[in-house]
Amino acid sequence: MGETAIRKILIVGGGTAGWITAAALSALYAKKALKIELVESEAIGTVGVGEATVPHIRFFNDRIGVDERAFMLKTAATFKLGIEFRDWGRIGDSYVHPFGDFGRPVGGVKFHQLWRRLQDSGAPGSIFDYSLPVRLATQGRFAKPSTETGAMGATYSYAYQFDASLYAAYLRELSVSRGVTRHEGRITQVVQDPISGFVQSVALEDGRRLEADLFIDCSGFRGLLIEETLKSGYEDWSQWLPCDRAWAAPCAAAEPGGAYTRATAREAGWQWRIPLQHRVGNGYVFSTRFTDEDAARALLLRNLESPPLAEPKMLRFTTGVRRKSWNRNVVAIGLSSGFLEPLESTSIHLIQLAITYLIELMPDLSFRPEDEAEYNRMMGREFEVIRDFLILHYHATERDDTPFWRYCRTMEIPPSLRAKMDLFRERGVVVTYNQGFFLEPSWVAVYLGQGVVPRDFDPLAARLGDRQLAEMFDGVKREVGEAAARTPSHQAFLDAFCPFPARAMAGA
Amino acid sequence: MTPLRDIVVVGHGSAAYLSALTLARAAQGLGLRITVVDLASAAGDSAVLGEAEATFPPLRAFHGLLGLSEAQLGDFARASPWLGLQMCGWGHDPDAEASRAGFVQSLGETGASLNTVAFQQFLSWLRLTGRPSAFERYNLGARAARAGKFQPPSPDARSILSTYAYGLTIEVAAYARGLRALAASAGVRLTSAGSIEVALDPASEHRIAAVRLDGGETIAGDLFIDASGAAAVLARRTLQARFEPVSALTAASLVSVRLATPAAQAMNRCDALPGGYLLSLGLADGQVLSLVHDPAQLDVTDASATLAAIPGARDLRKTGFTQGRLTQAWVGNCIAIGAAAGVLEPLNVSGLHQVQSGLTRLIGLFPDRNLYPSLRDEYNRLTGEAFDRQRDIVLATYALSGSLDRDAWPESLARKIEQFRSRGRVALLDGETFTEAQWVNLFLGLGLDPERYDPMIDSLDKAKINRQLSAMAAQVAQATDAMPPFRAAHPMTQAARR
Repeated sequence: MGETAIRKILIVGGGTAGWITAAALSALYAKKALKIELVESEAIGTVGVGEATVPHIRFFNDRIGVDERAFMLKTAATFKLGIEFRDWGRIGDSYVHPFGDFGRPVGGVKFHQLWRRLQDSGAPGSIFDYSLPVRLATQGRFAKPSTETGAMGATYSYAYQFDASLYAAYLRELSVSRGVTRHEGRITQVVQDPISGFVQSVALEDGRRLEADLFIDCSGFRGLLIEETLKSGYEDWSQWLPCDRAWAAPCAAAEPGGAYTRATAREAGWQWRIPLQHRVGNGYVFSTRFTDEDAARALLLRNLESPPLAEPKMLRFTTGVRRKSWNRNVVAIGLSSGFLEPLESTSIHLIQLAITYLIELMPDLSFRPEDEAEYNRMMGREFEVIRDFLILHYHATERDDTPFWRYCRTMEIPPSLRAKMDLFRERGVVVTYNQGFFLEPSWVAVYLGQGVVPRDFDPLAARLGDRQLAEMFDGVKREVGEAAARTPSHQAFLDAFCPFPARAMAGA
Repeated sequence: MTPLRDIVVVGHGSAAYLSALTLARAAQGLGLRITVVDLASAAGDSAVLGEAEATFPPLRAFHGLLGLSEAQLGDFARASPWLGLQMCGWGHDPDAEASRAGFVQSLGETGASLNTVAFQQFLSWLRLTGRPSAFERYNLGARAARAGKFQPPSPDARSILSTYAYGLTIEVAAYARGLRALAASAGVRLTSAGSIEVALDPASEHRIAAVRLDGGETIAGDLFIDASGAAAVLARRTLQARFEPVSALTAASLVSVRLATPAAQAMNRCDALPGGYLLSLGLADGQVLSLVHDPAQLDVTDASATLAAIPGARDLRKTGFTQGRLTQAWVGNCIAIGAAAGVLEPLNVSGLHQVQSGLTRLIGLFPDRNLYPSLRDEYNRLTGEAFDRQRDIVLATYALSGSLDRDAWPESLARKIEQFRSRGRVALLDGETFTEAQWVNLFLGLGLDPERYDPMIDSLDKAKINRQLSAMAAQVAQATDAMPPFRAAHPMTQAARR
């Protein structure tokens, strides 16, 4: 863009968000056109816990040149086929939200509609019996999906679970090898243009000043530039998502398998279990409106499968979204742009979306208002769609055993979610949209997994005879079983593909 | 689930019979009775404003689902393929040479993205670095159309012959007659009436119980399809659905004539004139010329005289219309389809597309006798969005030709134009009819040149990009040369045989 082009970007903060941003920008822009620098301080800890992801990460990694095997080797990564939800709809319930389909549609009618129809006239059993990724996950198996159209083995996708600190370290090495300059130091001052408020530079403790045209705020919850400096505001969503703290602690794995994340509903929140190759990441996400920090810590320790490998660490947050995550020449990416609890493993996804939109709307030195407005509109929409999906998990419950669950079950939900739930409850229709995450099978999984069963089914599902339909269902179930039986164990696959060198020292 | 037993379609023309046929196919084996009450006295069609329409590629796929072949359509609807619409005299500077030659609003792609950067960004880069290049050089559909060539596209995604698409221009009255015959053979019961009386359900003022025909018969139904055209006799007149005009588009008029000479290209044409535009649509056995105009600027007598003076013109027809839509196309147990649900002038949008998308939504949200309000609300939300996106296509053409004040642009359109002008980005919304490629084509054709290009281009190897861009244009030129000429006589049957 000639003289108006941005020449230098400074990324403030070096956690997961900072280093994904650095790796992506340095892969896509030539160094002579755009200089990328990052400042971080080793004195400031990162929110590095076990991290689970969603399948989009694979396409993003491809685009920015992250090799799957290489990064999995370095981050003790495992494969992920979905999330198991325990005790959400009712205590004792369990279902897996898979990265894949249930059965196959017939004559344009959705499989879950056919399933609901068969419930009236037969005994189709659980819809989760008709999903290959669910079967693979529960049997501890894994293989890459088939590329053959129509094959049962092509009905799923996958993501990863890895150690977030190792991931950041891996991307840091990659970024530096691509020419990203890393500055070590604590920021003590942010210098703004007195009239426009644009950020001109940040000053470090030792007196150095780092200037840039565009600043990416990856400073975490505090939002050093976006909030402490630019006061961009925050929209609080805690009336719908009341959890505001998490205790996190690793332990050794007491059970094999692990190609899925687990989210277990607890008294005042939920507990995650993210199996990595060398250990298991655990955490309890809870609400201080309904419990206190000490009780929560005790609850987590009581519910670990083996003794903790480190002292539990506590994280504080307020669920919500930054009113403007792009403000002037600052773009907030990661926790500085908003927080949604990791119930559906969307943290890294939101970082990658932010980077994708930033690239699509990369500003120049004129910093036009339409770039900023469009970016904020797109990101706001992404946050909102995920928000609704998360609220569904809490609201679609029969639990009334604790004040926390009584609150969630009876709370007023956003009208956008209300309409979606009514449509599913009455007639099994999933609302679809162009922009925004979570496709139909995900909504179906959570609805049906948590007892939101449609009153009626698609009348067009009645075109097939009962017998014909029952046979077709048996056929799908058999295919799922056969495909699963051909699939190796997750552990065997990992051992062959990307064995983590330190696994022998598990517990170290 | 308490299934519907009777669906009654009230109306005439293409909307009525496409609805009946589609519902009969979808509900095959369900024992659902479908009856059409043809309002024989109704004038014109119930979905299409003129005598002919340039329909879009998705309707071809829809015909496929209905089991309707293109050879059949060639025979009974005089269908002829079109690759693009030549738009002449549009844009801010209608006297400029480029504007007179017009641009082709193609149904296909322009160029291909390089290194994940959208193709139009490279056009902006060339122009902003002093080497402008016309976008049509990279659009095979447009080039072939202008050169009088045609060949069905290839299904092989690796072939350049997969980068264009075609729609069918059809004669709408013949199309409706053909659909009517197909509906009858699909088990739809056909009746007709000079006039009807509507009996409401005594238990609910928003539900229709039956229609009484002037011949004396009473036809009861669970669900009614209003395909009666802009009159919307059930939805509007009986159930009081509210019509919301598109305030930026005043009442307009359409005058048309037929010519016996078929067009020589697989291309339709739209010439901007003072007070309106002339739309020339090519059928297998002739052409339909329609003058769409604002009667306040060009009165109907003058418009008629202009068309009548064209050598060989016959069958002069006139119609007036008001543009807008029902705020709720589904009201009570009645769903308005076609012009009953909404009317737009035929400027790069299609009435049959609206019928098709309405029916597709209805099948997806197919109700039972409970008629859940959640289904109705979702149908209305989606239908409103789809109409508004088509409205934006019409308004964009006027907005970028200087005949629509900035403050009359809906927010959705203002944002789209601003994003493109600013950086060549297409902000796609829910419910779009146009693809990204079609928006890029329309914007560039109307002279909306982006002010910036994607800065990622500065990171790419310039020599390599220049080579790739030249290669693309060369490939398009070669593929055009290699294509067979468009055979005006019976292109559909030719195409089907190949």
